[in-house]
Formats: sequence, C-alpha cells, structure tokens
Amino acid sequence: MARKPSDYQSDIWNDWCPGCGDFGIVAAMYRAFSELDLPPEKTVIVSGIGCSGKTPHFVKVNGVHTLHGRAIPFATGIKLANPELTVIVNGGDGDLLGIGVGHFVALGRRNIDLTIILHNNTVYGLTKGQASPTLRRGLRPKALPKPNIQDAVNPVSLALASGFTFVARGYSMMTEHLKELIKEAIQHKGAALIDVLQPCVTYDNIHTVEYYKKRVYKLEDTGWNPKVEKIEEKEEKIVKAWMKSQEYDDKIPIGVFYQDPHTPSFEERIKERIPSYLETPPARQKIEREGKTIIDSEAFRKIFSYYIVETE
Amino acid sequence: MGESVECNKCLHFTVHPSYPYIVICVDLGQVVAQPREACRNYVSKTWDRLIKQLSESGFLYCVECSRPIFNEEELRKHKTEFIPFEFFTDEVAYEEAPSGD
Amino acid sequence: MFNRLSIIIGGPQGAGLETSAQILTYSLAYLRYGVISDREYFSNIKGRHSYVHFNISSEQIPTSLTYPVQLIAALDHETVFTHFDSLEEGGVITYDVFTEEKTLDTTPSMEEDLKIRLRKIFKELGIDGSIKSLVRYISEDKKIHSVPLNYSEIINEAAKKLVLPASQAARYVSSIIIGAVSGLTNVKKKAIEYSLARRFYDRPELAQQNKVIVETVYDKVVREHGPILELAPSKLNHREMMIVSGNDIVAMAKTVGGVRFQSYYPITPAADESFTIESYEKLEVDGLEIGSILVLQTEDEIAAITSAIGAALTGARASTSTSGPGFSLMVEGLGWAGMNEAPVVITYYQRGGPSTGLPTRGSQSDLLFTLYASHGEFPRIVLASGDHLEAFYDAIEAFNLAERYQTPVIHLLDKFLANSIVTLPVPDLSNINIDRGLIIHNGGADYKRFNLSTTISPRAFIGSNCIMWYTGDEHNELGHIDEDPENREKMYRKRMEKIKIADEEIPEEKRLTYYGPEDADVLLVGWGFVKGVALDALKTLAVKGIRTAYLHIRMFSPFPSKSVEKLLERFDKSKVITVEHNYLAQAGKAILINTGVRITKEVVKYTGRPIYLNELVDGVLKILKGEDRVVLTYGP
Ligand SMILES: Cc1ncc(C[n+]2csc(CCOP(=O)(O)OP(=O)(O)O)c2C)c(N)n1
Ligand code: SF4
Ligand SMILES: [Mg+2]
Ligand SMILES: [Zn+2]
Repeated sequence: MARKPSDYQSDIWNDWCPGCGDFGIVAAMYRAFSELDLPPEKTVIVSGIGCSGKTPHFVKVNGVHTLHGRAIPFATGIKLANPELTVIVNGGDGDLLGIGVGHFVALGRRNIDLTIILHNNTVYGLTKGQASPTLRRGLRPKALPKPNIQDAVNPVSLALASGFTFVARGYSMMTEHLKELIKEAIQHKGAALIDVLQPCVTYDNIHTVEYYKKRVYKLEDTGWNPKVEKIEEKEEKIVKAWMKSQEYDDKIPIGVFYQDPHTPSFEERIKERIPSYLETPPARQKIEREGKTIIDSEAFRKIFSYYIVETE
Repeated sequence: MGESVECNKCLHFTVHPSYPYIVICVDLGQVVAQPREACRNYVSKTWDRLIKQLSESGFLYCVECSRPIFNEEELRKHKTEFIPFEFFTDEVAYEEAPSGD
Repeated sequence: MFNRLSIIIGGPQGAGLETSAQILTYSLAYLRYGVISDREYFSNIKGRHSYVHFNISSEQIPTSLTYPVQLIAALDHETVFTHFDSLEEGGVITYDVFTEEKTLDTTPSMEEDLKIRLRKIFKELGIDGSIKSLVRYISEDKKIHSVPLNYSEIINEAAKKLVLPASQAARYVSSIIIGAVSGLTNVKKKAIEYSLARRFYDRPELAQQNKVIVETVYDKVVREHGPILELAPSKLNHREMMIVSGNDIVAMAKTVGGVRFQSYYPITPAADESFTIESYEKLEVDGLEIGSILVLQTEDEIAAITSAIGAALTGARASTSTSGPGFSLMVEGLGWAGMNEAPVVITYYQRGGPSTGLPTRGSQSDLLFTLYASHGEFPRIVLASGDHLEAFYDAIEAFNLAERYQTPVIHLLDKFLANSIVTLPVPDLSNINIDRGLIIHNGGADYKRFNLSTTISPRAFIGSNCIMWYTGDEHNELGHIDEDPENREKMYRKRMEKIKIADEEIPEEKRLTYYGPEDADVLLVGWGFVKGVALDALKTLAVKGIRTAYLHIRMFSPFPSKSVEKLLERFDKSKVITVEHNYLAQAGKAILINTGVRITKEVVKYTGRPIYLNELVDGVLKILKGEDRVVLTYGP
C-alpha cells in the first residue's frame, strides 16, 4: 500500500508565517516522497538553522535539525555511514551559501548522493530579514536600513562550478513542478541541488509571488536538454548550463539545468577502495562478539605486524 | 456581476492573519469595512478555484485554525472556515517581529 | 658498559633523520632494549634543525627523557652548535669534518635568539666560534671524546662500489649516523641488517646499499675509537616488542575499539593517526575481511566533527582527531552532540597555543578549555592518558563511555605522546570489553529518542525500524522543539544527571592512580605525559632520601573528587606539588574546582619541550626548600 502525501505530514504545528513559500516546499516534499513511496525510517531530512531549518519537524521521516550552516556535513556523515538511507538537506540561503558555503563546495567535489533543497528567499528569515548571499547588490528589502552593498552569489552557477552533478531550480509556488524536481534529484545518484525560489512574505517585499509570476518560465518548455548523454559532452553541457544560469533578470528559468549521470558518486569511489562498503557500511558492521572486540590478540598481531618486532 | 453579493466571497478578500477581524482587499490593497457589498472587481471564490490553487501552489492556509492545508481532504475539513486565496504583504510585520534561532 | 644511555641525533628536517631514528629504534628493540624517543622539530618541512632524543635502557622500558646525554650524532653543524652543551663529561660527539670551518654566520637556518646566546658563550670561552674551535674546546675542557668522520669520503667510497640512486641521497647520510651510533654503542650488525631489511622490505636493493655504508662506518668507528659507549646486554626478555608512536597506538586502539567512521582535517600532531587508520581501512586477517573503516578528510574541523556526529547517529562508532585550532572550530558541534546525547569521540592532541602557538611542540594547556568548551551546560567525559599503553586502553574506553552515557567524549593527549616513539609489549586484549550502552533495535512506531522515563534513554539508530528527530533546540521526548519551562527543566536535568550516573558507575580507581610509597612525604600531582617523568623522578628522589609519591589523574570529567580529596588530606600542604606543561597549573585549578582543595606549589613548563627528569628533580628540590613555583625551561 503506497504511502499518501499526508502520511508524511507530522503533527507538529507549523509556525511559518501564513503564506510563506516554505509551505510550498514542504508540500512538494510530501508529494514527492509519496510518489517515490519513501520508507520514513529509511529517509532522513537534515536541516540547518533558520525558518527553513524547521522543515524536518514538519515531516514524518527521520529529522536532524543541526547547526547553522552545517547540515551538509551532518548529512555527509549520515549518508556515508549508512548509504542505504535517502538523505535530503533543507537549508536557507544564508545557511548553505553564507556560513556553510565551504561545505556546499566540498559536497560538489565529492558528489555524495545527497539532495540539497535550498530555500532561496534572499533574506535571513529567522533573524529578521538581513540580506542573504543571494540578495543582489543595490536591493533593499524592507528590513534593511540601507541598500545591500554586497554582490549576490548565484546558487546554480556555484553548484555547477563546484561539481554538483544535478543542478536545478524550482519555484515554491509551483509545487507540482517542484515535486518533479525533487523526485528527479532524489533518484539521481550524486550531489543534487535544487535552488528553490521561495517568497518570504514577511521580509522580502521585492521577490514576491507577483514578482516571480511575471518572470519564471520552464526550461523544458524551451526544449532544453540538461543531460550529459555521453561523458565527452560534459564540458559543453556544463558551459551551456552555466551561461543559462546567468539569466536572472526579466526572465528566470526554472527546471533542470544540468545532469551528469557519469561522474562516479562518492559512494562508488569508496567502493572502489573498499569493495564490501555498500553491503557492510560503517553503520551496519558488527564490532563485538559477546561484549568482546572482534579483533583478538591473534588478529591484532596479524593486522599490525608492521609494528611488531620479533626480538633476537 | 450579480446583485448584492457580499465582499467576503471574493477571491481578493483576505483578513489579517493575527487579527481576522481586520478585513483586507488584496486587489485594492486596503482595509475595507465589513460587511460590504462586492465591488466590480469581484471574483467569486469557488470551491474549484480553491482546489486549483491548492494543487498549483501546494498549500492553502486556514486563518481560523492557523494551519496549512495540503490536500483536498484537509480543505474539506476547513470548508466552512476562512481560507484566503492570497496573502497581503504586511509592511509592519518586520518591525514588530522578534527573531529566533 | 652502560645500562642506560641518552643519545641525541640531529640534522636538517626532511633529510634522513627519521630513517636513522627508525632503524636505530628497530635495532634496539630487536636486541630487547627498552627505548623512548622524543622528536623535536620546527613547523617547517625542510631545512630547519630537528633532533631525536633517545633514552635507552638494558633494564627496563624507560618512561622519561633526561639530560645530560652521552652521545650526540650530528648530520650537520647546526646540531653541534645546538646541542654541544647537553653532553655529559666523558661523552661522545660524532660529526662531519667537512663542517669544521662552519660558524654561526654560515648557519642561516638557526634562529637569531640562539645565535645571540651562543655568541656570548663563545666570547666568554674565548673561541672563534667555528665547529673546529668548539669541538676542540669540549674535547679539552669537558673531556668529550670526538669522533670526526668524513661524510663525503664515505659516500664517495660507497658510490665507487655501488650504484647509489640520487633520489635516495639523504638516506646514505642517515646510514652514516646509524653506523656511528651502532659502532659506538656496540649494537650488533645483525640487528641493523634486520632493521634495514624491515624498513626497506619493498626495496631490497636500498637495504643492501645502506647496509654497506652502515658497516663501513661501523667498522671504522670501532677500529679507530672502540665501542666507547657499549651498552650492557639487555636484561629484558620480551619475545616481541611493538615500536609505536602515540599516533600509531591510538590508531590501533580505535581499530580494536570498533571505530568505523573517522573524519579529520589535517593538523599537527593529530593527522598521522588518521593516516594510519586509513592505511588499515580494510581490516584483513589471513586474507579475510573482518571489517572496514571509512576515513574522511573533510573541508574543515567543523565538518570533521559534524560528519562524525552524523555517522554516530546511524550507529557507527565515530570519532575525529584534532589539535587546539581544530578543536576551537569544533566547539559548536560539541555542544550539539551534548544537547542531542550523541556518542562521538574527539581525540585531542594538545600543542602549544594560543593561536598557532608552537604548532610542533607539546603542551598541556587545553585542559580547562576541554572541560568547559561550548556554550550552555551539558555533560562530557574527559579522559587524559599518561603514556602509550594508557592511550591504547583509553582510546577504546572512550567509545564505550560515549555510547554508555550517550555523550561526547574528549580524549586528551599531547604532542609529546603523539610523536614519541617507544618500545612496548603487545597490549593484552583479553580484558577489553565493548559496551555499546542502551541500544534498542526495535523502536517501533512509539519510539521516543529522549524518553524521560529513564535518565539514559534507549538509543535507536537512524535507519532502524523507527523514526526519530534530533534538534539543537531544546526538545521534547520525540526530539521536537519545545520551550516549555517544565519540559526544559526535565530535559536539562536528564542530560546533566548522566554525569552523576557516570560518576557513580566508573570506579575512582580507574580515574586516578597513586604511585609510590603509602607513607610518602612529598606528593607530585600530574596528568598526561608528566606521568613518565614523574615516575622516574620518584626513584631519583628516593635515592636522595625523599619519599615521594605521584598522583596521576586520568579522568577529569567526571572528576574523582572523593579520592583526590582524601589523598591530598594526608599530605603536608607545602609538600604537594602539581607538575604540568602549562602556565596556570590547570589540573591544580580543576582540583580546586572539584574538591575545594588548593594546591599552592607548582612546577610548570611551557617552552614546548618535555619536562626532563633532571630538571624535574631539581624543581622539586627547590620547592622543598621553600619556593612556591618553579618554571622549567631546559632543552633546545
Ligand atoms: C553560528 C550561528 N550564527 C548565527 C546564528 C543566528 N541565525 C539563526 S537563523 C540565521 C539566518 C537564517 O537565514 P537563512 O539561512 O537564509 O534561513 P531562513 O530563515 O531564511 O530560512 C542566523 C544568522 C546561529 N543560529 N548560529
Ligand atoms: S520570515 Fe519569511 S521565510 Fe520565515 S517563515 Fe516568515 S515568511 Fe517564511
Ligand atoms: Mg534565507
Ligand atoms: Zn480551519
């Protein structure tokens, strides 16, 4: 019996501001999880800190609400210790691209099979609307005392430059579309980013529902093919995707920008070195026998013979 | 436009999420007195329209219960309660809101 | 014949010194001598002066280093300049005649401070400051036996007979040192041959070339000088010996203890531990895999600790290794682990701070930091090991404690231990237990991770048959955010009381050890690497008629308050002395906080060099004469 979207709804009262785009994201997650029929006990949502950081409490799968900026490394440990888990990261733009941006880049380099859902609301929601790293220079959402004098980072471009092998953008108020992106990202074997445009109704009076309604269009409607069909195509595709990612003013493309199924995931790279890795990953190994270590004196001498000198 | 329709059946009609007795017309962008006869911008908020909105944006919000609505079944439970079609931008909220985490 | 020898071999970093030290240690172990050696080096890759200080014994496994030394073997002239003063009267120096004209002016790698001190000494001695003048002075005035060797001649001779690949050039110089030291101390050629074969097991031709050089020098030294420092045959009778650094032994212990996820960001002196674990990532016995370990080099220490915590939540035994700067970055993660009752082990090798400080030198200045690091209050267990064997058992126990009490465990070590290489009997594994604490495999639909019905809630792993939530915010039994004052009080107390349970369950005898006579007059109090030198000091002081004991503290949280308090009561306050590698006498402060007893006498050292036996004994004598505080500074 397949699980319904509502089976993933937790009983916790959701305290996001009424109308917040985060509701659209969590709604898309319920639907995507249901369509993929993810077993809750084998699914983990890892989040950072911020309004977005509360996401795991609203979903009935394992939830790990971590530290500001650190969701990716927590998720890295969870996924690598038990690769059979489906691990999804929800983080704010401040969280993932400000304080935690080093981890974001590192994830691209590793291509771990994680899905990153970036709640891109151009502000620091939970600390009262300061500029986030995705807010463009010169803009002044209402909480800012002065216009922003720092330039914005483009999440899609950065993900491409970092090595993410699935890079997409969604819009929180187009839930069906976003749901499809989430499904694809989860099914993709490697690091996946979904940059989700998420109106913050309380602090961002610029990037409103109206604003996005006028600008957003779907890449797939233009015949865009994000997929690296053959590895030789990688360079060309990544350049095209990067150029596309620069389009961000009058028209904002959403959809999958880039997908490379060829670059091995980190899990596959580990398996190259430790062939038993996927069958017996760290979390599933037995390390004791009736309270005793599995390495007894004899095994110890054999394993560490390099350090042992037989005396004269 | 039919005769003598009440404004609160309109799609543009919303209320302040914290003070539902303050009625707002999103279209005019102003507080309106209640009850009031619908104006010529009236768009009837039908069940079908709500369902459509729910499936597109993924959620609705019941102001009376302060809860998001994610599916038709839930929507039905809140059917008689006030579910705005749109939210207005509260310009003062940021000055009034505390911060967290 | 000598039952005990102290030796220094020195040379430019990155140029063969390590190999010399390794071959000599293997050879000595092969002949059943007990050895401890300390490596002192600069934060530099190539060119600056480094040295290895050995203490060798035919009667026991030595636990401390001491001055003066009986032999200095110099790969270069800077070694002669730096250490000549450390030689005992009648000692031996071997050096390269090629460097005889060298002076401080032609020693650019030496720090200016030392040059200034040396110039002053040379002026007072009335010598011109060349190596030649210095060697002449120490030979005549200090009865030092000099063994000059012509390094270039030796290498040229060898090059005539053998094909010596240029890429290995530094190794040939290290073989000269090996030859000289082994000839002078009468370490058998057979032992050297064994060690070379072992060291170069994958390149037998290298072993052969080096053997030729070693034997040439060996014969020459014996022929011209005789085995002046002949070691007495060993009275030890181990059939096998391990040769390990502190990093090595901890890596082995973690493997035995079941670590399955180790994350790290490179830092001295911790990184070697992770390298060692990584080289054993596949645990194979007779070709059969019995387990595997995932070692992850992260992008920073924040990722190191948080990924380890993530792994721990899934049930893997997980740890990270670091030093001060790294731990500073880990502190927020540590608090998350405390809040979420996550069992994670942090192996912490202290080095000289603050900031980058003395990155390659030892220190014990982070005790108070580890005890209180991170905002808010939460229980943590802090262990500190005194020697390689303690480090082995503690590294395993750290995981048991972390899982039993569901709390972060900090295992405090230091650079001294990390980098000192000792001979060690293979540890006894029969008494090692693996205690995974309260684990529930069948949590089911009603599982509550932070169930309040017991102080330590049954822990289910993420990925088992139930779901759970974790958050750094205050939470309810399910792990959801909850700011209710009553819930807050209960959850807070639940966490804090775990340390009380640990305090009740862990016998205090395991948290401290008292060494020495029951009716001692003087009590030294110390922790960490101080143990070895303190134990040797007891013996030296006993010979001088001072009955001294040593209280070794091995766990600082939960602190063995009752025993410490009771022990301290027995002693005259003026005869209780803390001995530590820091300025504040931090263990003394920890004792004061935990017992209310203030120790007023202290012997401290913070130069980054280990406390040597000779200076500790002197320091204790000064305290007994009435001084309150002695600051030690010996060692270049
Ligand atoms: C180390 C640290 N610094 C600062 C904070 C304060 N803080 C909480 S949420 C937040 C910003 C949240 O912004 P974003 O990541 O964009 O998430 P949003 O609320 O917009 O979803 C900050 C700075 C913190 N919790 N931890
Ligand atoms: S502050 Fe903004 S991002 Fe946060 S819940 Fe409110 S609308 Fe959403
Ligand atoms: Mg944000
Ligand atoms: Zn309702």
